Amino acid sequence: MIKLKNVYKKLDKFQLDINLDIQKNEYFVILGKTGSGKTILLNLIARFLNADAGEVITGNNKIGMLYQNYLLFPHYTVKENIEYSLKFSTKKENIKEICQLLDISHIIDRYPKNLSGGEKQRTALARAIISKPQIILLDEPFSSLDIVTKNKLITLIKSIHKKENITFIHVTHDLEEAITLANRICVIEQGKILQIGTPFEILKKPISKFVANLVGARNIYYGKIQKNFIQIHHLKIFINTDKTGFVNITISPEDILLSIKKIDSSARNYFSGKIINILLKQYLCEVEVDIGITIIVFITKTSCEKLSLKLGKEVWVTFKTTKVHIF
Amino acid sequence: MDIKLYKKNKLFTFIFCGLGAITIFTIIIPILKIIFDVNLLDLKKTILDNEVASTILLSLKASFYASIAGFISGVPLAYILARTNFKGKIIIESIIDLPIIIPHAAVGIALLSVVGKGFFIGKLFHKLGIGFIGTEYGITLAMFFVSVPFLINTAKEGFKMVDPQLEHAAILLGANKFRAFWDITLPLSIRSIFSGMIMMWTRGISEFGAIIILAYHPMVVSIKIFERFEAYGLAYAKPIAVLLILLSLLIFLILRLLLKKDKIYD
Repeated sequence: MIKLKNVYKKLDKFQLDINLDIQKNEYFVILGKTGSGKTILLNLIARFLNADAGEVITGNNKIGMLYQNYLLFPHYTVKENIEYSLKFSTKKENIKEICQLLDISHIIDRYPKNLSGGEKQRTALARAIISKPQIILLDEPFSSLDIVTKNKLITLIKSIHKKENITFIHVTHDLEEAITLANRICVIEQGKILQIGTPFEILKKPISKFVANLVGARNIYYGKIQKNFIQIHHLKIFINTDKTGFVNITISPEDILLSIKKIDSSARNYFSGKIINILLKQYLCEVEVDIGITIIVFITKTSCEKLSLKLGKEVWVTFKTTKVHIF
Repeated sequence: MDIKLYKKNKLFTFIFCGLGAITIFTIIIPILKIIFDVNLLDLKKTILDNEVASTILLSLKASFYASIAGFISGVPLAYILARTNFKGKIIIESIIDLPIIIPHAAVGIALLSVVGKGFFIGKLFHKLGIGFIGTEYGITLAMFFVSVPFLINTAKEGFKMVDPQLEHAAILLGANKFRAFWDITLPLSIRSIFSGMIMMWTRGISEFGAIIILAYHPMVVSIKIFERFEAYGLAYAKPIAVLLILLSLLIFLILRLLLKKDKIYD
């Protein structure tokens, strides 16, 4: 559907070098930090920039776009903004339906300066959708919005993605946004793709320390593989791998079991240690345990109370060899 | 609102305001003096004087045409300068500012040598039946030359204030480049363009040096003032001068007010 073949672009000192294949009707998220080249990539797809080499193939597909700063036409009302693309189309479209869906029917005669951020972005979304694009590009569309408005819009966009035959290409630095929306996430840094995969793959199986850090991976350790375990300081962590030499490993905090007594299980990795920190988060507890190395475990708030966890308390942490991701 | 970190210092304020006042007074005192020197009766007589009225109308008309020409040829240039970077841009920008710095009598002489029959451009226009020496064309040309920088520079600043990405958005929605300019950028910068045209128009009306060399006749109002002063003295020149001042102020004021009304999208 959309192909970027050996696309190369140089802007001052920055270089972008990309190969990419995006499927029809996919929700594809490009995740990267500021300056990673993600916006340049989007502008190449939108043809606002021309590649120095390589090919950007989008077929005959019509492209719509959502921007971080909305880019509503300030001298047009909401209605006029939405209807702008109809001037160039022979088809008559009724904007009523889309306005109802996006909950902007009541503000249709206002000018953009009298809209809230959420209303502006919903208007921009209506304006893009009414032009019947096959591809919608989203450039950090939620980064100027508050969290409640943002979550509402995410739900809305998800439902539109399900209903319509539209390919979404979404650029963001926000991991949660990426995980919630994406079919596939593409991690980009310094103009190069580091990893492409499902949100699950990116989260649990980052291929490099950079990706691991970007996706907020915890419990990243470095050590040397010996037979079927890896030695980290004095600790032996059992693993399943054919790899040899020095590697990074990461263990997701939610894949680790925390208990007061040693549990009987097939899991080969079990260590005892002292709790050195407990952080209460919105939905769960982050418990730091010193088992010779510091390891972070997520448990629910209820479990935290049941186990009556306290600083200095002796606990056991248990995890399977298959939960240790090596990279 | 900006928070201004400004520590007051009495001596500093006194000196700076005092020096500023010199400038303000230099501008305003002569204008007020001449206005109050003229009594209403003389002013009325001057307004009703056909000889004067025709010169004023000619000034207004010629400068208006010059502004229209400036709009047609200068605004696209302003857009290019606002939106693109290219080698030699600074040279183009300097050329545009040239009319402001060279003496206007010299402008008249330079124009004369181009549109005179001794030069191919003058010959060409002569063949087309257009002469510039002693004609309204000449007056308009002189006004255009000296006043077009005001339009171009103001329009350029106006274009710079419009986010170029708005045009991108319009193009993605189906517009072509012309349409995107016409629908989006032009309406959003029209106020600056109008301001530039007002400045160009009033500046054209007040031009003297270049016109007197290229076209003493048909007579524009600025030359009429000079003629009355030369032939009859100060007392006869003053009412026309006041009339011209009031007229310029009036145009400036009316158009400024007109533009202020439309403030939907600030």
